[in-house]
Amino acid sequence: MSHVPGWEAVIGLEVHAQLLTRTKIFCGCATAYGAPPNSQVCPICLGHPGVLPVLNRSVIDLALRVGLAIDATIDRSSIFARKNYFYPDLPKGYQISQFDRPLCTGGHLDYILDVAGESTARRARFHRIHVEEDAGKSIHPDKGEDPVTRVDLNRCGTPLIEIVTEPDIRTPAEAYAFLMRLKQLLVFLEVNDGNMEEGSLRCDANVSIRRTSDSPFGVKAEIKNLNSFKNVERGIRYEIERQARLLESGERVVQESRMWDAGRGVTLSMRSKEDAHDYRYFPEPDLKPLIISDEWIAAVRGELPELPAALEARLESTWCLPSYDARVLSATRPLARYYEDVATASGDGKLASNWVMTEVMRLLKDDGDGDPWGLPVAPSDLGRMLKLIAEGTISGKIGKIVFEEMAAGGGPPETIISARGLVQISDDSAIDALVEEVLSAHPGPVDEYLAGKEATFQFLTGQVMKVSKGRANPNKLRERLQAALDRGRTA
Amino acid sequence: MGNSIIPFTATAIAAGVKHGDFTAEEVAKSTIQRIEAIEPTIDAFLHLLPERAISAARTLDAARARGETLGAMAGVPVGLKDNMCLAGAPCSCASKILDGYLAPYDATVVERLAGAGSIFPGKANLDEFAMGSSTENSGYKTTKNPWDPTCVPGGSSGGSAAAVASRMVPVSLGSDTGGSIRQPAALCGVYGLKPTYGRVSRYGLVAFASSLDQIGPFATTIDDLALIYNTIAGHDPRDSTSHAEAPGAFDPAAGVKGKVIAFPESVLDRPGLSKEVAAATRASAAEFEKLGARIEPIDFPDLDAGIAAYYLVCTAEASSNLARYDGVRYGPRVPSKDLSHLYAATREAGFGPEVKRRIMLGTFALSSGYYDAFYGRAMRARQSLKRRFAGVFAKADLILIPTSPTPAFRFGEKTEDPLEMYLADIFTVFSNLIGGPALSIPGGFTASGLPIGLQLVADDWREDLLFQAARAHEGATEHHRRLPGLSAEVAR
Amino acid sequence: MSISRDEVAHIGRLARLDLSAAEMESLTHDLGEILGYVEKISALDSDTDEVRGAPGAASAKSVQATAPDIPSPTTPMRDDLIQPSLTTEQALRPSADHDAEFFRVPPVIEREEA
Ligand SMILES: [Mg+2]
Ligand SMILES: [Zn+2]
Repeated sequence: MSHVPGWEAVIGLEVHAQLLTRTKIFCGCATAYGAPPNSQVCPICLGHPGVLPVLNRSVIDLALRVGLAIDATIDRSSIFARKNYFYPDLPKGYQISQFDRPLCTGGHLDYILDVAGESTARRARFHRIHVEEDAGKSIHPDKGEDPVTRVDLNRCGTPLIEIVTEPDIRTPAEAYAFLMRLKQLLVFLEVNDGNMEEGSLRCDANVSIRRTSDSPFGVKAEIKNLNSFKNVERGIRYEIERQARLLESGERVVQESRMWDAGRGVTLSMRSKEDAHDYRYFPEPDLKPLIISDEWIAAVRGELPELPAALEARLESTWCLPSYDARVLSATRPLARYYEDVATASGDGKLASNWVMTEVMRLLKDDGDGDPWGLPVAPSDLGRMLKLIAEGTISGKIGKIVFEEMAAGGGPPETIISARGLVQISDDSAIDALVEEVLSAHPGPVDEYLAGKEATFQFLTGQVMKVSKGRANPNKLRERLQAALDRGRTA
Repeated sequence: MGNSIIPFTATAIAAGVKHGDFTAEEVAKSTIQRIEAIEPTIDAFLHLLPERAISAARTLDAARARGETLGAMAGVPVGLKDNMCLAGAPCSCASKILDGYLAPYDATVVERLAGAGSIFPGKANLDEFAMGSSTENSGYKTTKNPWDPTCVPGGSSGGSAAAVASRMVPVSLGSDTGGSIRQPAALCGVYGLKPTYGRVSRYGLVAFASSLDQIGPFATTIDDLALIYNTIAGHDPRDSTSHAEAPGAFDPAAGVKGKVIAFPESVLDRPGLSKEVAAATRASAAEFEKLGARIEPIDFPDLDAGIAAYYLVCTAEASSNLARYDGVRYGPRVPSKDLSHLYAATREAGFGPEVKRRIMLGTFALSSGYYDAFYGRAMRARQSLKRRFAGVFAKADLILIPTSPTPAFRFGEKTEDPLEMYLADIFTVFSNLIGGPALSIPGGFTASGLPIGLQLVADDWREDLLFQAARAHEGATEHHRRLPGLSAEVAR
Repeated sequence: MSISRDEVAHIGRLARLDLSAAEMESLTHDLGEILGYVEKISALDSDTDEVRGAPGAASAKSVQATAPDIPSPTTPMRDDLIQPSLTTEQALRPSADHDAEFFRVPPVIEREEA
């Protein structure tokens, strides 16, 4: 059931992902983001008379990576097709795409849904993945501006894969979790940068609702402009509520495209005035079928990097981690590599996991850019410090102080510890001296303890720790304090 | 004329320039003079580029003076159909929608010709976007047939054919989507070759129907035809449909002895076929027999079905290829406050009636619900046709048929009925549908002195057989030597 | 096969042609006649192949010009190497309306309804 009682949502996603090639799909123009408007264009991508497309091999290399990673069936003879429509950011009046012979069909992706502290495994199947060219950008006038749309064709011809899922998703939270998982996969595969805000990853959602899981599918609406991960969840949530309201008041859902307005938090109908979409697809006569050989598939498969699921399993078994930790640490490959370096240097996987998941990730959040390798804390430094904790050279508490100093650029932990005299005190006689000092300074509490008020022990422990400036080995301290008090009882 | 020492054929010009008998500049100037004398009667060109031609010729002469070896087409003036890109020059496709447009790059054929030393004195008239069979659909002017200025030169490459037939240039390039090189070659009495699809790069040829379009040459002799063909043919990585293998050399002395020529004589009984065309075709079959070929009667696949399939495929592809002409990035624009209207008004004003008719037919043939009945069916018909011709070429080396059912017709004679105009392509469209090469050769004259063209058709990639047979025919006949009256005068 | 005036009007909108009434009239006639002639294609229908493609509504669309039984070589591919682009000025100059950075068109009027 969805978050609207009495209704189940049926959700399918259509994801457009820009592929990380140097050049466009059918011409040699660069694809770098952020270039001045209309500076990465040529007669081919501008659709000048007489030009012809030639396919960029890397586009297919990257698309095959994705297809193999999700266990899709690769069509050994897929076909490019023209999708015909008029728009100022589509110079040729058609988009070269694929229609009934896409490069990949089928496949699936497993993901974990975390709701209220509970993790459940989910699977979404893929319908297809096809290769196509991106359109340019139209910059529409705001109210009060000149009524002129300005067109930048730099993006035109940037390679895309369009990933279409089966309608296997049931809740906005699932859509969010699935999309995060898909992004993680694409980034791991180094085919896409995962940036929804810059538009290199874009998501549309097909949403319908029905009473129960065995009812037939309802009429769906296509939600566009879901321009961040959170907006995917919000937009779908809103749309489910809107459809439920309509149906509950006896109205019908219209099959249409709707635009998510993040500012107002609503979806709006995009009713184009004229002809319903009639894209007049036909096979692109300027390109022959794309034949994929066994050798090509074997080569791409051979170079596939470790995928998120495999990385998680490996962290779990190599470092004896709970699956939750393994999942968090596998969020990005740099984070996982960072973690593994910390774990190796410390010799304690779980201790390393605790520190990376709390202290390191807190810094990452503050810092924003998400790459632990940009932090001043080198993983080997952190690992050695954790080892000092494990060996009892410093306490966990002291560790936090040392970590803060490292994060502020203080250098390796050994330097910080010796410079500030933070080595743990474990020597019996040294601790006995500290205990004596505290006991003689606090005769009242000592008497209370001896009279049977056990809780006073905690107070005295704290006082010794304070006097030691936190450096006393806590176990040793408890042992020596107990011994001293016991001596007082018998005295 | 002062430079009567300059010969006319491309082969002789290239040899003379390389040998130093005359300079490329002299050739260029003599060509410009020819054009000045003849063009006012013929109207073959949309744009003349005399300064550009002279400056290219001077560059060539300077290279020769430095001791550089000149290319195979040194100093040869080549007429370009105005649907091929020559960087910096206009490329209008005879359409108002590209009025004033300057090509930003060179077509591959242009690059190759220039590399071999060709010069380009002008860009030739055509039916708008190569859609037509008479060049009457040009948005700018009507080109006259050099043999009778009251008749059409054929089309769509009418300007390129007339420019060669009237001896303004020795060779020119046209494009052939359903007969647009061969039919005007026939109507103007010159050689015109449609190479195998994929033999000559389409990069820089403004697309009409991408799966049918092919660039090819016009010439007055087979040697000239082979010279320019060998310059433009071959693989081009910029055209994904370009054939990877280089063309084979042809042996000019090989002849047709022992070759099997399929002759579908029953097509000569087709209603509407000129009796003089039929007679010339039979005479030519007899000529080939005398030259040692074996003539084999065959049944020809259904011609009307070919035309039907052709018009579905070419209009569907054209409707998509011509979508880019919207007034946004180049070309004139009809201003509007609304984008949809800007498109519709710009396209309405820019395209002529035949282009609109074909865009409409093609849009309809691709629109939802009709794809299978039209485009899909036509593409399957192409496969069926291909198999039938494979059967013919399993038994024969060549096919001999007329190029056009009639000799040149009068202006306005077929413009009222588009379907009748489409039937002018009845003997040519099948080569485009199946992809193979075909060559129109001069095959005689009517009683009133209009040329008749005959067509030799070969299997894929066998242009060498076409050259071989045409060369033998050329040596045995005099048709190609006859000059139109006005050109004979200029030549004197 | 005939074609109605309404269909011609619809196709005209799809093709972005602002047809006059007279053009609409003559196109209805011409297209009807041409589509009638197109039926002659049936002479080539007899031995056509079963249509390839995945099952489903629009499975017939990917018949290529080459016969499916002849293994065609793949579409050629280029290496991912940057080629020079045009300058912005070169790209924009041919346009009927542009500023120093962009092509300019009238706005796309899209109605919004909740
Ligand atoms: Mg798409
Ligand atoms: Zn480009």
